[in-house]
Amino acid sequence: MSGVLVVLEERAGRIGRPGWEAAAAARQLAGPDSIAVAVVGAQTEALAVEAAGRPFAKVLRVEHPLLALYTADGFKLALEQLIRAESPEFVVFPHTYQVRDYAPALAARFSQSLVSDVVGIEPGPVFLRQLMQGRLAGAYRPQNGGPCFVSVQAGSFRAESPEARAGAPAAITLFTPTLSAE
Amino acid sequence: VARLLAEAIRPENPDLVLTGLQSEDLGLGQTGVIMAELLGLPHSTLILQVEKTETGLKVKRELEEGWFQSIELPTPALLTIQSGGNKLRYATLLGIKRAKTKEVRSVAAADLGAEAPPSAVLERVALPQKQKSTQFLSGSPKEAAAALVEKLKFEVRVL
Repeated sequence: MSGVLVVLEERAGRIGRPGWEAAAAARQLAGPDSIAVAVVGAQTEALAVEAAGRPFAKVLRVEHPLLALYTADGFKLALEQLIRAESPEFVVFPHTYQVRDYAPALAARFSQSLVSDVVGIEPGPVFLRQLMQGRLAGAYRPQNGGPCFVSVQAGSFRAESPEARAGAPAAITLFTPTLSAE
Repeated sequence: VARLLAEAIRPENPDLVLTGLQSEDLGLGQTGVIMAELLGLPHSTLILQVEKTETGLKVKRELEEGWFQSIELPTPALLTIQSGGNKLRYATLLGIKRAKTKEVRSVAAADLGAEAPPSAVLERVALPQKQKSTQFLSGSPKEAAAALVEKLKFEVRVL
């Protein structure tokens, strides 16, 4: 189990800013050569090409016709299969309304809990998040060897000027999960 | 907490489980979703409206930036309810009297056998770092404005 998997999210046909912020958080956990990013949907080629221009080790297209529209069950099942195949040490999400709908259940499938709404990362790593509606700050340390699931609060990690990838685009791999409408 | 609650309600076989969205203290917002996973129920979160249909439920979900999503799901199901979506209905006097006759089942956490080691531990709680200080932004008006926007975006986080 090693490396970081970042689950990006599509907004209006492009990768949304929250996803890039999650990728910025991932860079505090590992170097670019240890970060993979995933795009999920029924047609992910354009998103994957967009991501491949950034400094990541690889881009994973999690693609299936049943992922055309978001459902918690579909995303949970597809990403569970991807995580079991890739075995990352950390899985990082943007803390969007979509992520909070499925990521806790996904983490539970690995007997983990989601460290949600993270606003900072200290060495260790220790994840910082707000408590009591922001009146206190809490520091969470992962315990049991992972994979460790983390979602990051919007605006907490800078994705203003994402550096372009030097050289050839990152490798793009197609991952087809086994899903059924039944 | 989710494991204990799931084990406590499992024998009841409910058609619908309703939970809040997130607690006021830790604000993790996960108990309902994990309960659904442990109970093998379909779920939906941030629910503002619930309507019964012939096959199950039709719900209205809140999304970012003022968008809403309409979802149909079968029952049994679990929904986490967004605050402010429903008008509070206060109990009538008759309802309060009837409540006294309802069965209250107590379940000891130790009897549920749902203990699991935590995957992350809250090892430190502190007051957030807040600094009130006056700063002068130097440079041309354009540079000062850019620096101000930067601070409002990434330090104060109000933009």
